[in-house]
Amino acid sequence: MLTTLLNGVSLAAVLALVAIGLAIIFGLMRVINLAHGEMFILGAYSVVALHQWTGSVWWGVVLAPFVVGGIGWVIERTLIRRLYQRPMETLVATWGLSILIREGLKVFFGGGSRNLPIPIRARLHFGGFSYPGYRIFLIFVAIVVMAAVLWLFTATDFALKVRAVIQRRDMAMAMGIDAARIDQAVFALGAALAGLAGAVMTPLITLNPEVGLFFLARSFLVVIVGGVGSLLGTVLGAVIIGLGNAYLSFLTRPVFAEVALFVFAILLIRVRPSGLFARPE
Amino acid sequence: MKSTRAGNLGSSFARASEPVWSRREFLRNAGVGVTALTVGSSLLAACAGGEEGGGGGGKKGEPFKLGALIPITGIETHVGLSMKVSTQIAVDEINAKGGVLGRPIRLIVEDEASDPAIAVQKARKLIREDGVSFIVGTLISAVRNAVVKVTEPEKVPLFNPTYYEGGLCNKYFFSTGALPNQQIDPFVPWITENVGKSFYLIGSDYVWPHGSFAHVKEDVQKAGGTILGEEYVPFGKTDFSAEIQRILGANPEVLYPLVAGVDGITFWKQLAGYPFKGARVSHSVSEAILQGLDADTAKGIISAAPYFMVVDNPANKAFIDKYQAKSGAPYVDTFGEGLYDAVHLFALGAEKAGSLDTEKLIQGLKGVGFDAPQGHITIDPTTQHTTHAFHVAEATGNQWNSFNIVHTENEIAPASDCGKIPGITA
Repeated sequence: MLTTLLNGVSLAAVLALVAIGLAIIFGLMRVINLAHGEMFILGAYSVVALHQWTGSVWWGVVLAPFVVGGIGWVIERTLIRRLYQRPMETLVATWGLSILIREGLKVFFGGGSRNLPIPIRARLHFGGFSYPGYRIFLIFVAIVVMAAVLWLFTATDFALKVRAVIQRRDMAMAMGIDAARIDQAVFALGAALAGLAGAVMTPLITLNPEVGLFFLARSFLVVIVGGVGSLLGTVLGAVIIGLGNAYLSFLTRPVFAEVALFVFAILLIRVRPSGLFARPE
Repeated sequence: MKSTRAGNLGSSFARASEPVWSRREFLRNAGVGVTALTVGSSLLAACAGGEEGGGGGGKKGEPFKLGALIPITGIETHVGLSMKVSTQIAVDEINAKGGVLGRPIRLIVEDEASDPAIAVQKARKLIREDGVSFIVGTLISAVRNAVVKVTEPEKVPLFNPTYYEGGLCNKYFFSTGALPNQQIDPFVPWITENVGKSFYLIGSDYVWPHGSFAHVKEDVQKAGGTILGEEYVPFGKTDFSAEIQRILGANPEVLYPLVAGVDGITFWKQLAGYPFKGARVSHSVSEAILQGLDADTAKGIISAAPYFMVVDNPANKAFIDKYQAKSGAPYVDTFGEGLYDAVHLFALGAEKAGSLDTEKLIQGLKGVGFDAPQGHITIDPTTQHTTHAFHVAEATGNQWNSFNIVHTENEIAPASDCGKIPGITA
């Protein structure tokens, strides 16, 4: 059924958008960023704030990645840079950061929930079939962003520098690459992508500071299933989980679909610990 | 030249960035760490503080500590604040007239977060640390059922404002919340007469929707209607596309969702994106829900409750004026009104009993009446639930006064699944 397929693709789109930022930070830089869900939420609340000031949701969607990217850059410079190669400390520090951000948002915005109107009310029609326009928009955004990220991390000069810094940091620096700048750029980019995901998702959900935890768990699931270190793997992991969730939710019940997906992930990791599309080391 | 990866610069390792763990260990520990901390976070969230009121024990002039368990965070956060403000207004009104039996009320509010584990901790804290001997509040049924297991052994009365699935009979439990016979039983026949006969039921997966739908199904059967589908969703769902697809496929005349709290708002919003042609009917829709939707989505939803803000009587006008002056948000719903009533009934019961001693207070509360914003209500001595007004209303928009009342019944007495409540003399 076309509806189920589109449901699956729109779910996959959300998952891909949320997870790709984590794939960059966790997969490439090996930083366990437990504040990733909060980057998502900061993007969402940027939309709320900009909507309050301007009356339009679109300003938020456009500006949120820059806002959250900026916040990510600050976090990298103050916190993350001291904790590379120290995973336990990073775990604790980013979790503490996540609590800080969540409670800070409660102070600023109140503990209550926020709802924004869905900005695209039109539906996509063909034949007798109809589908919400905003979800189509979401899919479109996800495709464009995935393509851009994959291009950025494979076909550009920046991609070469990133690989160099990851593989042999001292040699990269000796060759004149500013490794610290690359770290900042990559982390900020990962945060910006999470912020974008939060921004486009906001009109579809009811927003409160706790929502980030749900998307944090999902992001890790997608990245680990898809393969840590492989951006394409993350995208494909999102597609598999999104489509799987949609079909199972429709054919059976949502609770069963959730359980089945986690069972699938556990079995997969057991059989292929590096995920589906592990980056060759 | 500084490096954040100290120790690796100029090292003789074959690979720079020699990690502390192997890839396999890394993935395993990351997965465990994330799971453990995500699970632990709900326990950590319990440390969100409450507000202190202070005040002491038994003598005249000394403040009487009244505990309040309110869902300030969690899935019912959109009504939590209005419940808190309503409770405070009632307390202020009573204190302005000299308090209860000459003692001012000190309100101690704790966040129950719509989480039974947290609510139980907060209830214990109120009783054992703060020494309260009377508690108002709790919202969702799962929380109420958990808290009653704490308050009853401690012999602390709980006065609850929430309509629910019925069946709770307990000497230390009072309710200004409607029972199914006061809210569902009058509603379903009205629906089958005025809206449609084929129903699709969808609710959150816990006791309230299950219990309520049991009554709905019975009433639909009696009215000669049909149930096309019934399903339950977990809390915290962010995507309802599969459920909506099933609903569209079933094509009911009446869609009756009992998706709780903010999940309900998400559900209505997402449903609006699809071409659903049936009626949207639910007794869970209040002003608080409407405010979360935009006007086009809200228009046409039909609800039923003991109280809507547009109910036209002097007590309600006075209440709304005070409420909107005090609160940031202009809307209050039947839970807030229920708490306002509960606090006033408590004071009236204490006056009637001439004492704040729990056992005498319980006897005093029986039969007490009050001119509430919803209309006049009385506490039924046997069930310890109040009589209720009943209104059916259709939303014309998303503002606090967008409801249009289309049907009213007054002072419906509470029936109950339990005949005699043990330990009560009526």
